[in-house]
Amino acid sequence: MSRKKQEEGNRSQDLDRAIESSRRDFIRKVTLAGAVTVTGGAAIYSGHRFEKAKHRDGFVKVLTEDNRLVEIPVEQMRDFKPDLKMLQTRGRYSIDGRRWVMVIDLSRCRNARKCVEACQSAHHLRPYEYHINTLVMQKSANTPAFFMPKPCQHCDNPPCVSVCPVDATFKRQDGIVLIDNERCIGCRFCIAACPYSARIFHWQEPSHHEADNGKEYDVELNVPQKKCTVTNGTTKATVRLSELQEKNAGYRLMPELGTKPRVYYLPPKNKIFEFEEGEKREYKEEKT
Amino acid sequence: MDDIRFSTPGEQGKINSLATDTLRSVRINAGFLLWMGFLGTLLVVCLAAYVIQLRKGLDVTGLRDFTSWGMYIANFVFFVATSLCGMLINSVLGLIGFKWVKPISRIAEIIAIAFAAVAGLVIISDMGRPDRLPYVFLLGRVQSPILWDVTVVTTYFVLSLLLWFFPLIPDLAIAKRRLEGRPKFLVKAYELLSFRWMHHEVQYKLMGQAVRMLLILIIPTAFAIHTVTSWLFAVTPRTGWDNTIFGPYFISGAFVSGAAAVIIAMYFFRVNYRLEK
Ligand code: SF4
Ligand code: SF4
Repeated sequence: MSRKKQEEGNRSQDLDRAIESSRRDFIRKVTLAGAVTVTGGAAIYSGHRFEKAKHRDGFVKVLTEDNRLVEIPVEQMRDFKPDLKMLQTRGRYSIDGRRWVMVIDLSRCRNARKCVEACQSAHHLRPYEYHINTLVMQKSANTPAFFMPKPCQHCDNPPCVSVCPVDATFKRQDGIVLIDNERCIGCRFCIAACPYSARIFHWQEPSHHEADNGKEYDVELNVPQKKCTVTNGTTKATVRLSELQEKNAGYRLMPELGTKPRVYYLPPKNKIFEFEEGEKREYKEEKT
Repeated sequence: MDDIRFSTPGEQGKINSLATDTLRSVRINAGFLLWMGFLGTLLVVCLAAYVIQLRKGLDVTGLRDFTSWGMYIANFVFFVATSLCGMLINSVLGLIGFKWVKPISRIAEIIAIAFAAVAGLVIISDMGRPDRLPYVFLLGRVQSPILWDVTVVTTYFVLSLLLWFFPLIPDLAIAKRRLEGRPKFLVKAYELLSFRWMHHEVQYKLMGQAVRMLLILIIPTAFAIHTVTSWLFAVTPRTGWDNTIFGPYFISGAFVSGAAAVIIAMYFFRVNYRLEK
């Protein structure tokens, strides 16, 4: 996305194409990572689509609008810097023909909390600021405890969207719930309305605000975030996997509230990874 | 004290002595200055604190996402609740026909206006991005209870303002003629705000109708302000807040705190204007 074939033509056309090609790029990457059970959601954080395209003898590969891979000389490239308006518009368009869900296979979760760390580093959060958090679950006193990663559930009937007075948080056709940090007025109503406690407020300047200074805000990536706005952390790491749910007696978190969450959990059956007390302690220390 | 709002020219004599009493300025003595100085200092301190909050973020308030998130909101509730007194004293008691509410109706109305206005300010100070306040009007979506709250608080504020101002017009006209030796701008202001009131029968009749209309209109608005606010909180799945009893609870609470505010204000007026006699 950062580089693009130089073309004649007006600017808006240019922008449209940029949106389109980044979309395809994204879809391609997701397809590559497809059918992977995502543990905790951060595994295929697709921020990597912002990687610089690889150079080869002065040529560069780009994906054209009609989905062909072509090579163009480096001289014809120019840096493309999307502006805020374009990013805001793009963030509100869904990816055609897709309905994303997220599946979290608790039986494969290693209680590592790496998803939390990855999310925090991707979204420039402090260690105590969570987009995805882990709940400590235990079925009975005799069974081992396990972590249950809890990201935003991307509810189909999202209370956070219902209560937002300025449409800063919105539901896309493809199922994703996003926040436009540049529109949020910081009323914090959505935080109170979300039954999953999936949202946090930036009470202070976000941790990387100096480094991020001047960067345009990307709604889809949700970086760089701003002081006194709200955030839920969407990593676009949503993977299509629906039969899994039936086979494994998958369940959702508190669906009885009518929020219709889009995150499915597969139960921690035959769990091979021990839950160590040490980790539990560490987790508790971190929280305080 | 008698009712001087709906007086006819025939009662002028009686009004005269009353007017000298009520039109006297607030007595300015050492205690008064001290109190005002204290309040002024407090105001400056609060403004400074707000500037700090704006610059550093709401972090400085000590509020957090899940436990102490509602401090400003609770404050807002207090102000909104107390502002109910305007409606309580004027409409409910006034329309039922209690004569004794007439003299304190203006005090009640002023309290209502001030508290409704402060409630608005509290909400702004609770907002993370007050600079984006215009978005609420530009991009507002009616499905959000916040928008209902904004609408109903504004409506209540405007109705209270009118209800306070309409009956004030004849009094301003009376006061206008007793302004000898006062600064020029004051005379001008009274002149302007009394809208050339002639104490004419028709004028009184029209105003009576207008006030009656407002009195009736303000009842549903006042109920709405409390039920909207309370059930706004009730939609959040927070312990202690998600409760359907909130609507009636807020209204009854508002009656109590509103009445209390009027009683406190009445005491100060009695003392300051020596109305004990
Ligand atoms: S989990 Fe919370 S933040 Fe996410 S869509 Fe549902 S209500 Fe909104
Ligand atoms: S805090 Fe921001 S995103 Fe949340 S409801 Fe308010 S304006 Fe919308």
